[in-house]
Amino acid sequence: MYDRLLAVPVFLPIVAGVALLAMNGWIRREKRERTMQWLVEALVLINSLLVAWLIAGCGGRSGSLVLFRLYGQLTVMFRMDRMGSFFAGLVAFLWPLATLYAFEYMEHDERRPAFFAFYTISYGVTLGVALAGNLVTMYVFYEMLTFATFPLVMHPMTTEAARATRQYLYYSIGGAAFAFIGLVTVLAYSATGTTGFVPGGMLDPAAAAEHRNLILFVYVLAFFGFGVKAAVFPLHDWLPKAAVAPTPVTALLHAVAVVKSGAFAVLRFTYFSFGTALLRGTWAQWIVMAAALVTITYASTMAVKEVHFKRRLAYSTISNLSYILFGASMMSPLGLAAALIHLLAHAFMKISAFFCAGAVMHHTGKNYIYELDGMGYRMPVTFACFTVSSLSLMGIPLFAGFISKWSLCEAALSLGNEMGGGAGGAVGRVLPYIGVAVILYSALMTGIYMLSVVVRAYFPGVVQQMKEAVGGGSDGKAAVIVSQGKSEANQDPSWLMLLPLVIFAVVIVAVGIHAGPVLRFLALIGGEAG
Amino acid sequence: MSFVQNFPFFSIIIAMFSGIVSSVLSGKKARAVSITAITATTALSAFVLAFCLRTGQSYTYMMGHFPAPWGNEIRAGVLEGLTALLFGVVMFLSVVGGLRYTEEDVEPSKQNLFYIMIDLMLSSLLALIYTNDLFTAYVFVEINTIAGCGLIMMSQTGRSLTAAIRYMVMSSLGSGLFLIGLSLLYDVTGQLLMSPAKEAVARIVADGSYQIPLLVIVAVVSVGLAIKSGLFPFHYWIPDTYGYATPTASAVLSGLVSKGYIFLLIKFFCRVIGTENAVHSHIINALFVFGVAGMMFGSLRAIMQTDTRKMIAYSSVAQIGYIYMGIGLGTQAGMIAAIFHIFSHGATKALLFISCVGLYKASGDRTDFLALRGSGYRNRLAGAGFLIGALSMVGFPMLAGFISKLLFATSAFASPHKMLITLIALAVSTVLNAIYFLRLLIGLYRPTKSGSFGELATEERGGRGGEAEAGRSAKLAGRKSRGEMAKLADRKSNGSIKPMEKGAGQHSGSAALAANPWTMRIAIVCFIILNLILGLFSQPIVRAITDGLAMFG
Repeated sequence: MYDRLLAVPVFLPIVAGVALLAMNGWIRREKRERTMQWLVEALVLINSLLVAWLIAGCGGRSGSLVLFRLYGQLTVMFRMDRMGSFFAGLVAFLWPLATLYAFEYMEHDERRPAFFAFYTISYGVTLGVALAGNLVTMYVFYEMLTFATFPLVMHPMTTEAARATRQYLYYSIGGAAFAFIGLVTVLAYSATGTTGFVPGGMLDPAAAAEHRNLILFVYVLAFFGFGVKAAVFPLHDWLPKAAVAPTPVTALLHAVAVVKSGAFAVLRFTYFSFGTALLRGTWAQWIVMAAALVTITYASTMAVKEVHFKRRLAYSTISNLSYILFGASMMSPLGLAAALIHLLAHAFMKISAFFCAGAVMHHTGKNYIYELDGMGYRMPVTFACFTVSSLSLMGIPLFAGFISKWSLCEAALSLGNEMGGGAGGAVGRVLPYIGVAVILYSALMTGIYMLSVVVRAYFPGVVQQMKEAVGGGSDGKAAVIVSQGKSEANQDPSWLMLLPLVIFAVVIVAVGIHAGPVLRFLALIGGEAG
Repeated sequence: MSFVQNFPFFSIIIAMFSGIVSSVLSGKKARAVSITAITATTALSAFVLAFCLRTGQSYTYMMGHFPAPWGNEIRAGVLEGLTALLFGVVMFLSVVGGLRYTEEDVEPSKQNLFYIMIDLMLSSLLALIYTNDLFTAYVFVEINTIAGCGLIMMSQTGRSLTAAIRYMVMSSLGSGLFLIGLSLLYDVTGQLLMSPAKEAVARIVADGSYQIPLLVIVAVVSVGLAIKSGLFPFHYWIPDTYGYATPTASAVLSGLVSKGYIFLLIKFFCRVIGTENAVHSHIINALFVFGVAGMMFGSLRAIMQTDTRKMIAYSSVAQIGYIYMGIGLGTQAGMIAAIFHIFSHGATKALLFISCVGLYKASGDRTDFLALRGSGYRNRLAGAGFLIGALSMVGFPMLAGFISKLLFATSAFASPHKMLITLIALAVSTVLNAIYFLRLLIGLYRPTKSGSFGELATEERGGRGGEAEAGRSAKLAGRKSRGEMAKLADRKSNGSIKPMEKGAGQHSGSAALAANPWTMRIAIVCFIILNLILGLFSQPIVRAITDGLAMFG
């Protein structure tokens, strides 16, 4: 029964989106945009409830549903296992709220029907990635995600947007092309002849031993292939550029759905296809781990340098995604659990931060951080939420980010102890500890790049005083700004935008204070697959 | 003997005679005859395929009941039937899809000539597929060349004439080499019929005599057919040829004609030389190397083009490279992948050429990137056709291209030395394909500079394009003879402004769609369906190819 219904949440939004596209002209002619929006919201909500019901119904049991056969053993198959239900649940929770936010953000846009059509299609496709029962299905939806989301990046239709879209497409398709090599290799050396996900890997041990170096090489290729969407270092450039898209897109897709699909795919094929037993302690592990660490360092440094609000958050996303990849590259149960908890925490933190940035851009038209002086007084609720997410991103205790960073460090240290015996060679002995150092460095950088925004927003005077101290002339501008901010009417957006923000902030704090149940559930996943 | 066994012969003859009959008919009637002939031969091929699938073996058909060494033979099996069927379908859809444009591009008095060429092309393709005799193959190779030349120069612009001459020269070179190969083979074996020749070759190989002549034969025939199908270092003629012919001609030439030669080459390898000997001769490695090089080079050149027709033509160079790479793997799996790619590329490339014409018509007959901007809104169906074609080329799952890619990749595992090269070449070439196809695709769905979507923009662009064109020609006119060039400029600007006037008349989106002739709409929809069939129901097709290949040798 449940198995039969697995395809519904995937295809319902896709069908609805295509229908919207077909009715695009009619909706615009008849000026039915408002009705259309609420229908979309209702549909997304129903779909999310359906996902919740399926998760509750399936629990940990995993039935599967084979939809059709692409070729030979390549079936499109859905299955709800623990890890899939985790990601699906996350996506299903965020999407209705993000849609709500998009209502207000897109209210003056001419091409709303097309926007919401692709936005809804992306929902279904992301659920497809989450619920995929084998590598082929995941690959199919991974490719579809590229094509469902590129119209959204292109939505502003400016030259800049077109350039960003082009880059996004090239990177994503290029990545998928290399991931394809991984797919074919898995198929060729699979123990079962299929590509179905099995906790702990599914390669034929004998064949794997025989072609060990080849398989490791292919693993590295596939890591970078799927890693393109997770913006791993040399292939990260598309993400900051894609910040030209409307904020609901950057927030939901480029902080959650798309990039998390990339990270999720990496986790899936590392722990469920190649298997950690094969990879642990090999040169392949150290290469991907080093790539993740380089990304963290590079992106958190770049974020400090960037002055465009959304682009700074995009760099922050890059560095945080590599936290997840760092967890993935540990090839241990603790690593997987840590990666997943960071996946969850970062989703809430970053979507909240992006939505704040979007609210500021939408209501005041301010895009750059140096324009934000005193904004904390004009948009109090928005910036309160932003502060929560900033503190959480830094990893201050009581917030979700602390839990996830703690787990990551714990996992890295335990890996370091394990490899200390010399199992991983000289590199393997040092790299986990370097990883901890990199996380600490990145926390410092996060503090700088996030708090500098918060400080500007709340204490414009401080910035001025610092300038004075350095030697710049003062004209009492700070006081003016503060008084201005206080005197001006409250510019907070309407409830459509605020509701999601507040909910996210509450979740961040809740996870930070009471993480026990989530951690236990994730430890379960780590235990079965690690 | 079952009556169906006559069908291969019937289909060749029907196509040939309809060409002959058409020479005394008017253009309209010739068109009807041609379409009927294509439909009829396609139906006959379907019967042949069904027959061979039922009996599970191929059969030899003696022409005029002369026994083996003297007679002429046809041989039909599952693979031949399948190829003939798919070629017929693609041919039919290409002709139907380009019907209106053929009418516009070809002079009224020469309409019937165009369809004669189509008929001859069909009959020669069928003959190449079915014949079991090397000399017959050679004769039809020549007929094919002539028909191809005729198709290319039918639009009678200066460029199409040079393209036709270039095609003629390269093709003659190819058929010359093929003929030399045949003569040498005849010299060594005394046979021209494929099956006896194979026995003779097997004897020679067993003896160890005539090793070098045999190598030369394989080399010369391979190179000859590679030139004719446009493999990488010999691709020089392709871009102009496909770029300047009428849409139907481009679709047929790139989708089918080059594939016919590749089919002949596969036949030569399997049925005359023997696959093992071909693999052993290392010629196959050369084909592999040039195939991979072609995949890269063709795509790189395609990226550099600003004219979309040339871009699609260069993409053909890359795709031919794929096919040769599959053959070059030297395994049965590689061969299957190559044959499947013949089908999938035939269907996809024809779709691209036909749907692009729709986009050109919506952009005032201009073919460069800039002019095509936003044309996906002006001609939605053609835009959708191009979308599907481009996605298939990039290897999007559920379309034909994905299955090709998958087959190539999985077949690579059977030949360890070439495996990593093949896999990486596939990945890199996918990236390159994505770069040029998706760049154009984004362009199609971008508003024009004025920021508007759809038909309002057509007006403006058409007008502006016309002015620019006229201005450029006027500048040139200063240098060359004044009167002549001014006339040319006049004509050009007229030509470009025409769509503007048309655009002003039709104001709503549906009116722009109505500009698609219904024949073209059918063709695009059918091509899309064909692509989906090849992508989603590939299993029986691949099984048929495997069976066919087994009974091929």
